[in-house]
Amino acid sequence: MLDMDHATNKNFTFVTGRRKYLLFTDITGYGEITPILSSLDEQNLLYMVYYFNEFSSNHDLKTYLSQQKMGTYIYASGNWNSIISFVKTAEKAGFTEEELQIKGIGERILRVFCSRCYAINVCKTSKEMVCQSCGQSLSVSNHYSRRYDAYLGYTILN
Amino acid sequence: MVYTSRINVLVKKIIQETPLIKRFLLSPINKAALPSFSGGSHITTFIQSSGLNLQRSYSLCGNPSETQLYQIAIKKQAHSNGGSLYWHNEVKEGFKLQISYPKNYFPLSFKAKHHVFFAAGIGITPFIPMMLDLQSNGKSFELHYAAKSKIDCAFYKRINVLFPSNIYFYFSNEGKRMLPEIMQDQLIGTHVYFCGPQSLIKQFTKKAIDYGYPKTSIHFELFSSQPKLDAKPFEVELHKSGQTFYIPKNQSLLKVLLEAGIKVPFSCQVGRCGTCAIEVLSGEIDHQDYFLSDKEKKDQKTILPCVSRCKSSKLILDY
Ligand code: FES
Repeated sequence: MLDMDHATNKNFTFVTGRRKYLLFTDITGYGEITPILSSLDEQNLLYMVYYFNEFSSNHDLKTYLSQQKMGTYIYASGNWNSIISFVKTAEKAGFTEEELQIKGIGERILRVFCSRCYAINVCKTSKEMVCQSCGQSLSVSNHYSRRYDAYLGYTILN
Repeated sequence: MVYTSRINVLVKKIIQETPLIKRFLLSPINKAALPSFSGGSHITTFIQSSGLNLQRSYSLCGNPSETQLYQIAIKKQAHSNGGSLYWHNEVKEGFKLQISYPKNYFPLSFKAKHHVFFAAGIGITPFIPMMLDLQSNGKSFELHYAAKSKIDCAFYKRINVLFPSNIYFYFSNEGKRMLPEIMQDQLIGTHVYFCGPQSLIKQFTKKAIDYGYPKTSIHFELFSSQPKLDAKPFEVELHKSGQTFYIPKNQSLLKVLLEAGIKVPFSCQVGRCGTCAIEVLSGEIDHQDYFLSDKEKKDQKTILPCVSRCKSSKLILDY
């Protein structure tokens, strides 16, 4: 999966020079895209806005995204669950980190790889955690593994 | 050069591909097999004979899975400074030379959903192994290939046999032009690759960016850097030794330093690999490379002397 930290912007930055913009959002994320909507309107650029739930399945969403042409740029904001699922689908369709920005709202669930016992832990955003499998204290790094879809948790030596 | 170990090879066969292009088949001497390589790789050839010391890099154009033979194709250049003329006129079957291990500055993107190749003339060479790689992995690609005419089109038959679909030829004697508009309606996930003269690479890169391609989806291979038409001479001082050099407008900084016996490491000589990077203490760099990031160029702290020059009158290098 795409590196979420790479694709996540604290605030969206307006990227110019694209031929078409797609904005995906939900009730919680709509406020985040409004500055982008204003910029797109001001510059008279082509865009479409969708709610995540307008697509009845990830398959439909993927089909739609796969039909987009090069030069399409995505902004997506909403709750983290929707964002994570959206990004996975967008990547399968061919979008890269350079072609989208995301903004997750609320608490984010992270997958953390224990560097001691190699278990994958699921936890809420935090700097440190205890591995649920081996009890090792871990520091959650920003090293993201596409293979494991998880962040590396370094062992904390006491 | 970054001196890694070399491989002794012999020219096993020479095939006249077009009136101006010859293909050379190189086989290992005293070695069971050559190293395998990935599509887009090149080798540097080293020829030393009667006072001549030629080092030239050529893309490998054979099958990457073939380890008994390497294939390179060389066009006889009208304004050759020795390399292509020597290969065409002096190198015969049985000729022995040394080559480097393959290096790849032009790899395929493993993220791409679809690969679109644009070749002009001899620029076709790296694309053949790249397409063979993709074909054997069941990946999607298309080739657009421009040449003066069918007769001047290297590998015309071979390409038609190897790749039965998605191959487009543009022969200028038939009034057909390969246009950048081909990139306009490509689907998301497309990566584009250019290989040919610098003017084509510049034109296609600019168009791809205009169409909204991210820079990471644009790839290109340069065979030689074109001398800057408005290049100005400048002076260079080496901070550690205090030596100064005059760089004439028609010579690279790298060449002047090497000729003075200063062992600057180098490899591609076209501003692609970053091997020759030198820190700059003062002076305004005229960046001509394709390696440093925009930020690194703006910082004005590093020069790639194989291609870059100086906007001010003098550079002081940390060397
Ligand atoms: S030798 Fe490769 S960038 Fe200069």
